[in-house]
Order: sequence, then structure tokens, then C-alpha cells
Amino acid sequence: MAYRRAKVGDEIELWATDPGVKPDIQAWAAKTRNEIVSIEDQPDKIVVIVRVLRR
Amino acid sequence: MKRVLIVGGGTGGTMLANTLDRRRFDVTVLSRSSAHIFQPAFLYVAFKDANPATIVRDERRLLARHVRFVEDAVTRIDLGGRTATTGGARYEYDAVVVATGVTTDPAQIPGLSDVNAQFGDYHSSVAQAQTLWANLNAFQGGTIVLGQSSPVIKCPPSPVEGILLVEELIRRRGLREKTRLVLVTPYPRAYPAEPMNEIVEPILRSRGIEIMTFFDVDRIDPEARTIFSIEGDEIQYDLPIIIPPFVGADIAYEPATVLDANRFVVTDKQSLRIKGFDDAFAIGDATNLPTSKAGVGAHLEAKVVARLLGGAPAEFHGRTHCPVDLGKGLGTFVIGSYTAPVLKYPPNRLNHLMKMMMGRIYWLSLRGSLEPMFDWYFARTDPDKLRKAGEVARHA
Repeated sequence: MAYRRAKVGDEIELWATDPGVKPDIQAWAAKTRNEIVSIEDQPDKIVVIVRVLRR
Repeated sequence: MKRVLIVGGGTGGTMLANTLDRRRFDVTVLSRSSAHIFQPAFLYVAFKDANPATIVRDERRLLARHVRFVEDAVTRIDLGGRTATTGGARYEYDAVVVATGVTTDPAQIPGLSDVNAQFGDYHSSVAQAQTLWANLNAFQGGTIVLGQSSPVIKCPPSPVEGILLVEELIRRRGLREKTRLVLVTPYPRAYPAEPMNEIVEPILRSRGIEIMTFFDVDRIDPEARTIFSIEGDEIQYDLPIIIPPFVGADIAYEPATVLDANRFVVTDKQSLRIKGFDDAFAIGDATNLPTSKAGVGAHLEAKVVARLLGGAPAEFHGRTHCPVDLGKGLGTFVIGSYTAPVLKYPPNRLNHLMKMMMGRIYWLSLRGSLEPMFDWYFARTDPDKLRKAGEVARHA
């Protein structure tokens, strides 16, 4: 949803509870050639920050 | 008597109305249509030419006699003032339950309105499902592309079911050699939840279905018969079966902050109360709950709200139990909850028969009279219990 509305240069913050988000977001970034800024494990969630380089 | 206003006469609204204690509650169901449709059967109208007459009934005949039914479209709900308004009337309540479902919104995707109008779809209406059947029946070979154009859809297994039933139909018509079948999905795999994907993907591959992942439909060019993804891919079709995006009902809320960007009602995961209100609940597809939009949710959520309204403790745990038709007479279920990841639940014929049977007992289940059976069944198939018992591993 956020990616649909994003422009090049935007950063998207994504929250997830499923650890499967890590390989999935890496596969997505590799496929779309966007950049993962950080993946952070927090007590209640995993926070991923993605920088949109193309869309 | 406590006045309970239920907005929406689908699965959740009807079950709740029928199960509230008639001695304690004065129940009104307001619905924009008196036609109650068993929506899971759109699949069979579109792919197996099922008779639409068997999937639509008059809501008035499904509600218990003491329930007041009004066919009228609610345009505004004032949660602070405890009133709902329609074009010509105003309803006051002591408690309100929003069970308004979702509708398809192809206009969000450029080109999709035209594509859906021409080729039909199997999530919007009986007429749209019949249009799709007519197109499938006229199809003589080429590329069929099937997929969802938005991440959140009604019935998450429906893209997989759709492509498998298309494959079955095309093979039966002797067109399999002349047909390329492609499933497109915005997710990293054919089925978003990994354990279910381990069941589904080998079946798709064994039936020669191509899978294009990370395909978020951006726009469709009907002239060039091409679908473009945000990720930069494209695919050409002869017959496109594109599941449109979904939005909540066209109702204005006071306060407006109880709706999210998709017009889904912001609802507490456990208590099913609308954010900030003790006397307002939302159930079924209408909510923004992080669970599947499917009849089973509406059913179980209606039970929770019935208990809470009656003053008993209750919580919704996010249980899902979605039947999946895998074609060739096989079926499985997507079973999970807020805390239990989806199970790798093995396909078999009995699961498929149970899905078919649900279409028959659905009308009776709306009365609430089958609850002892459902309670037993849902307890027996509890995802945590099944995982602990190793039952899934044993059957897999």
C-alpha cells in the first residue's frame, strides 16, 4: 500500500510480528532494487525501514 | 429492553441478530439489500456454472421472527450521539454493531474497471461471476492471467482456488495444451503464509501453472492487453481474471477517525469494540482486524459480541478456518489465529466435501442452531492443539 503511494526517495517504515518478514523483504528489495536501510528486532515487533530507489 | 442496531444483513449481522436473547434485546437489522448472498459460491458460479438461484435468499426469511428488518441504506452513524441515519429515517440505539462487509472497488487501478466489466470477476456479484463464466466458456486458448490487484482481499485463498479451478475446466475442455496459465501475486510466494504455501505451490507447479511473485498490479492497458506491476514487470493476457481492491461501506462516521484509508472500521482485536466506544462493535469483513476477510471470522466474531452484549466475558482470538478448493476433488483449510501461525494442513477429499457441505448448511447455521456442532469442530481443530498433537505432521 505504502509502496503504491511512494515516490523515489521516500522512506517506508514497516512493522511486522512474523520473523518471515526478513527473508521476504530481502527478496523484495533484491527483486525491485530498492534499499533496506535497517531491520531492527524490538520486543514486540520487527521494524524494517526501506528507501524507495525506484518504482 | 436494550435496543441493539445491527447495520448489515450478511453472515455476521444475521447470526448475531438470531442469537441475541429476545427477552433482553430489541433487535433491528438495517441492510441496504434484502438479498442475502452466500458469497463463497461466486467461485462455483464463475468456474463451474453453479445455479445462482441456490446461493441467494431473502434476508427476511433468514432472520428470526422477533427481529425487525429494514431494507434501507445507512448513510451516517454518529457514535457519540448513538444514532444511525438513512436517506429518510433516523435510528437511535443503545448498542450498535457494524457488519457492513466490503465491496469491490476496481476504479483504484487504472484500466481495471473496463477489464472487470468486460471479463467479469468472482468477488463482486452474481452477475459479474456469470460474466466470467461466459468468457471462460468462450475461451479457445491463449494466456489466462489470474491474480489479486491489492494485498487485502476477501477470502485470501481465492486466487489459488480460482487458478486451480480454471486449470481443471480448461483441461476438461481439451484446451490445456493451447493455454498458458499464470498466477500473479503481490506476495513473495503463491500463498502468503509459508506453511500453506508448502502445500499449495507444489500442486500449482504439478498442474503447470506459472507463478509471478512480487507483482503488485499498477495499471492495465486493455488495448495492449497488458498488465503492468509497480515492480516493473508486465504480462500480456488473452483472458484476465483480476480480483479488484476492496473498500468498506460508503457510510460517514462521527468521529471520522474510526475509518482507515480503505474505509475499514478501526476495531479492537480482542473486544471487537470500535476504537474509543464501549457501545459500538464491528464484525466481519467491515473491520480492520489483522485476520482473513472470510465468513468464519464474521461467525466467530458475532458469537463474541453476543456474549459481550449479554454481559458475559468474551474475547476474539483471531481464529481463521478457511476452506480451500484445490481442484480434482481435494481440499484443505487455512487454520490459524492471532498467535498461532497457519498450519501445514494436508489436503484430502473429506476437507473438500466439508467445504461443499458448508454451502448447504450455511442457511441453517445462520439461525445459530448448529452452534454445538461448530463449537465442537472448532475446538477439535484448534491450531495450537493440532500442532501440539503432531496431528498435522502425521498426516502431512
